[in-house]
Amino acid sequence: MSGWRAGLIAVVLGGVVLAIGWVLARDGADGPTTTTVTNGENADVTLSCPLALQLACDGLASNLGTGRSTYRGGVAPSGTVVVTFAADLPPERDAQVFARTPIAIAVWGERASVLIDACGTVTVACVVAEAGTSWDSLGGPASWGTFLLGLADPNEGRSDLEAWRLVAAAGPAADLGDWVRLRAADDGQLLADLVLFPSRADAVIATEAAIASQLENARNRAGRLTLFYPDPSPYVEVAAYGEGRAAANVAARLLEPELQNLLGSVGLRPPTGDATNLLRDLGTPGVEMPALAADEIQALIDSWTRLVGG
Amino acid sequence: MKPTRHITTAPRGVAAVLIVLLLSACVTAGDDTDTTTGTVPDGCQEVSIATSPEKFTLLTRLAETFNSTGQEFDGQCAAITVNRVSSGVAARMLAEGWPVDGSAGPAPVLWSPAASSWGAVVNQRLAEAGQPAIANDFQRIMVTPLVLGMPRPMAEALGWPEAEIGWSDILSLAEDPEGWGALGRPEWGQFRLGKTNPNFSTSGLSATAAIYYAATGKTSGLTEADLADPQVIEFVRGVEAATVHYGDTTLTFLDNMYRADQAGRGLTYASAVAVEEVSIIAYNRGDPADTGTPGPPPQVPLVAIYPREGTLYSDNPAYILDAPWVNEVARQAATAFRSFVIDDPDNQRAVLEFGFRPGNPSVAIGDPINAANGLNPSKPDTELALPSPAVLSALIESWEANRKTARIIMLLDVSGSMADLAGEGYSKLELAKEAVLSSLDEFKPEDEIGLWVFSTYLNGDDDYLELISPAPLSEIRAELEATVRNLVPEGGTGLYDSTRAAVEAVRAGFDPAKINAVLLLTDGMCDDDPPGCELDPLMDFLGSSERDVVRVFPVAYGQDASIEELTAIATASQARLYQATNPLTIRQVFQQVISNF
Repeated sequence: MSGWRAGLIAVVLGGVVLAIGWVLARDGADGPTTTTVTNGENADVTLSCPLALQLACDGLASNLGTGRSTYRGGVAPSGTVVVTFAADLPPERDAQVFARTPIAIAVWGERASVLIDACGTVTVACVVAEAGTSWDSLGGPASWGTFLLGLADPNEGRSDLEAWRLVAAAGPAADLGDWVRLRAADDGQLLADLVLFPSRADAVIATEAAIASQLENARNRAGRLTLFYPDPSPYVEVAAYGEGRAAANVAARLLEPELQNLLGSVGLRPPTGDATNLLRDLGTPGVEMPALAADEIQALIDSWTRLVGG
Repeated sequence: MKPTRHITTAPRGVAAVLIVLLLSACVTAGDDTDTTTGTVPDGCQEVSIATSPEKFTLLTRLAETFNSTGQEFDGQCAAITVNRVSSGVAARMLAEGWPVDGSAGPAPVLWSPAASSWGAVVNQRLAEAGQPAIANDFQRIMVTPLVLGMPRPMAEALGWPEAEIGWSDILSLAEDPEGWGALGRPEWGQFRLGKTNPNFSTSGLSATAAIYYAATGKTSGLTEADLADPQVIEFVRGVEAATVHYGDTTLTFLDNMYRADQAGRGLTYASAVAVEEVSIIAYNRGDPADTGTPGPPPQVPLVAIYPREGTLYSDNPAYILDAPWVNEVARQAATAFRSFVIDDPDNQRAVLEFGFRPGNPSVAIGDPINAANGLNPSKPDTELALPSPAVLSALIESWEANRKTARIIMLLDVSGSMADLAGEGYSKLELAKEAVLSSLDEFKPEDEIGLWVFSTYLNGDDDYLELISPAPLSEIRAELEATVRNLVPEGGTGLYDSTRAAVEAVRAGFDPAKINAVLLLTDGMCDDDPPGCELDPLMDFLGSSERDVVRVFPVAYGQDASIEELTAIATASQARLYQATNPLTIRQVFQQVISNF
């Protein structure tokens, strides 16, 4: 019996579909979809997170004994703890910030070494300046083609806006859009697409949490992603709220020391202070940049539209 | 047990003319019979999936498993059925209205074409008609890059696997008068490329775009000005000149290559074929047509060349359609099935076993995408950007003008049975005439076309009659149209001697710069005088030339055509049989045949 057939029969006999938490995020869909079941202590509660926070969601749900699902916006049903970027939640939500994540640059392993030689250190200014440059002129093999960037649409979320903020500040050339071959609706999708289509971008700029969520997948499918940290760097806050009493109780637990100590191992950082038990591939972020002023946001959106497109 | 309704629709021809990427270029995919599988228990709602052919078997198996778990949504049971519809055909029907007579299967709730560009086609065409987009919500089931499949010894002669090989190497080899002799292997003859017609095939469209990109040195931003650049045109013509023939599906090339291999002539049919990576695996398993029942492995396996200049992916999206016929239960059921296919690692490992790269990034790429199968999972290094819709349309027009020209004889059966009524008040011959006349627009003016007819004793003892000698269509079109209109049915079916004579005529004027072929249309079986209907001598004759092959593309027309005889003719001449069992489909089938030229 072939492996896949045996697997399918096992699913039938089990009588339940155990989907291990990976669902592509989609804008505009209604409500979260539960993708795991659990027998944990909070089995009636589901942690619902966007794709960008997949690793964090898996780790926290495992520790809390909850189910987990992919958050796609909209109203969550009772029993759901919604975990997402704080700025993307409606203000009326009584959400608690329990973590944060800096913006980082991820570069495919071998190419990172070449880029370091070319730029001295890998910064946003470096990757923006070299976008569109042939790899052989950067010191790499010609077969790598042209140095390409991947970015998420800043219209869709604060984390993507913060990443674009760095690019815009680096003074991109007018033809930048030609070299942003990998574009996605959000940074979770951006990193998932990078793993599926590794040659679509040599470097991406996104939240550290989104990159962390795909590090192992990238290693298994295409190679190692190396992280670099802009300095200074924007940080994006991560918040949670619960629908219903049980979920609210679980959400409150995210601030407990035990879970705060866990954050580093699931790709997040505590709201204050350094992360402990940091995931192996993560490093030291830059100094935190001041928050974006309201009047800066539209200018950034305009510059994205002008340079990269709608 | 509740009774179930078993759904199996017979194969049927599918309209060939399709709209490509926003504008009016025509695309269908090739093996586009509609076959629906699945059982729907009484009282359950049917939730239909329309999928491109290459993953039909896979999705059918997964749907069977999914259905067996007794799925209910909002208290309503639902069952998935799977319908095989080529991407371009489905795109056209979704844009123009899915047939309500059931001829194309039920309107889909979930649609999975070969590439997400087809979703853009549908949405753009709906927008042009003032209707809302329906292909919005998608996730990728699997991905697979376009590669050049090459027999291993030939690839090794080019330096594989160490060397980075590209379209420019193909051009150099194709243009070298010594052919493979330039690399010390004169016994392999000239370089021959198998490549499908971009009007019909996603692989063909991707390969054509890749060739134009290679000609420019770009990896994105192809422009209409690039297409008009004389150097680009020269490059494209050079590569296209190496083409064996075109066609509507890559399965034709792979099947012919496999047959040649099994006959010990694996290096004579084609030197390379532009196919998806998954097809290399199917071929090396001995199942080039992906039937699920492999034969012996090929003696000479194929390896994948990921072109140095870059390539494109087929990304196999699964759309939950925002269409009026999709109710809430159907939407929930389709969403659950999609999640079952993509999110469950076991099912994604099944995707991998079929040779696709899993669409779920958490499932690693492993066997059978490995070096043993001639593949490299870390490739391609460079991905090409899909040209804009306007450029893609112009690209197809440019390809039409610069593709390899054809020199063919149309050999038409005018036996008495062609007078039989075929439906809608028309005789078979009348429908065939109309198909021939409408197909003339698919040729380019430089294509040389001749017209022969056959029945019995049309010209003394000969069963065939040359009405028009092969000449450029631009010169003979009016005469050709008038002659076709005046054809009348009479006599029997002198099939074999007529076929042989037509092939001899094409061989006599063989032009290596052209696709040399015979298009044979018949509604019967051989009834020559003895020993005229002995098949073996004809087979020996058709297979007697390994180099300057004249391919015979038979069209089995109506219920009485001898599939066995015509398959043998197609196989012996390294071509493909087409079937128009229902004479009303002859026009569409004829266009598929013409896609080879």
